[in-house]
Amino acid sequence: MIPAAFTYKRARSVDEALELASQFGEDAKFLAGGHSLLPLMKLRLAVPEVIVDVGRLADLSYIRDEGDHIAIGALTRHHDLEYSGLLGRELPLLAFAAGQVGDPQIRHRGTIGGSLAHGDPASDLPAVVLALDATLVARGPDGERQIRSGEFFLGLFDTALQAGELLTEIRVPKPPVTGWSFQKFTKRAIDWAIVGVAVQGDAVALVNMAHAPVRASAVEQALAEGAPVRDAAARAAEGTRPVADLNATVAFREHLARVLTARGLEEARSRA
Amino acid sequence: MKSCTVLAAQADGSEVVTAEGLASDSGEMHRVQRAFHEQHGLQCGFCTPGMVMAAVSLLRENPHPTEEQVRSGLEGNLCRCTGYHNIVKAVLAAADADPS
Repeated sequence: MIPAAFTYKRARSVDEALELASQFGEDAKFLAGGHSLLPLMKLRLAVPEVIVDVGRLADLSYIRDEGDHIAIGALTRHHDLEYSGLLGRELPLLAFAAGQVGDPQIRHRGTIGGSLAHGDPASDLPAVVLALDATLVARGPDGERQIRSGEFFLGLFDTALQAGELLTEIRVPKPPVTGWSFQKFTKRAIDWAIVGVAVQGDAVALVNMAHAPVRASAVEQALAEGAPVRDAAARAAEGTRPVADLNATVAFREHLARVLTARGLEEARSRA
Repeated sequence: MKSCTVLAAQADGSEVVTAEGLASDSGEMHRVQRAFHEQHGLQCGFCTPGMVMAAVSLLRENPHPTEEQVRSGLEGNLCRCTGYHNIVKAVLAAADADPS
């Protein structure tokens, strides 16, 4: 199908993007890489009246070492995350996971900011930034604010971003423990994860086990109490609410969460 | 990129290269096209423009990929006819034909 009719506006600066968003209010959606929004528009599951294209804001594409954290511009493409030498050294979990998103064509266009703002619990990067305790920086008509990742993902396609707010930067603290793993279970090459697990040290976040990415807090608590990996991983499904769909039953997702968490923790420890 | 998921308006002001734009002005095939021809990297041809463009992009980023890198580099393109073997051979042959 083709999208419903809409007005297209290209923002030449962040300020102009914010002006356009406040001018059109609820009728407007930001467009970054477009590989989440445009497919939804073609299915007419999303029918924004106005598209504000922020995809040419090159100033928002960067990966910088800021000492205690890495600052990533919201418009950094998955491809650039995947091949960044800096991320490969400091945040290999993020670099690797970005390389698991879709396929090369998708990674050439999709952005980390777009992925996070879209708020799909089945996406890879939301769980990764949750495991990394990242802070999201947003700019809106009232200025700039910082939102902790634990407070950013509210539900299905629902984030803490308010109308007219643009995600501009993702700040990821350099992890104290270097061991990491990203486990993504799919049936086909470029599927969303049926279930995924992101591990950084003893932090564990789950893909597609609820309406938003979630930390596997029962697992983390068990690890903190000294439980061996197998025992801790057995608690991966606690506190989750996976849905049943064409790909998996609830029980299968819960099983996958346990198995992938065990594999993820073991791989992370082998890398620490 | 996937032309179905990029608005024409997003491309405004950019240069767009399609499979028809690969051959030289005199009609000489691009080395990737020639490799697909010589390695029989197609049957019905339906996937071929996409495979060729994906290969051109892949080789620009990685001029001498391993077989595994070719296979994962073409993950975004499906073929129902060939089983991919000759496509992979074609990309590797095109890489070998690169003088750089």
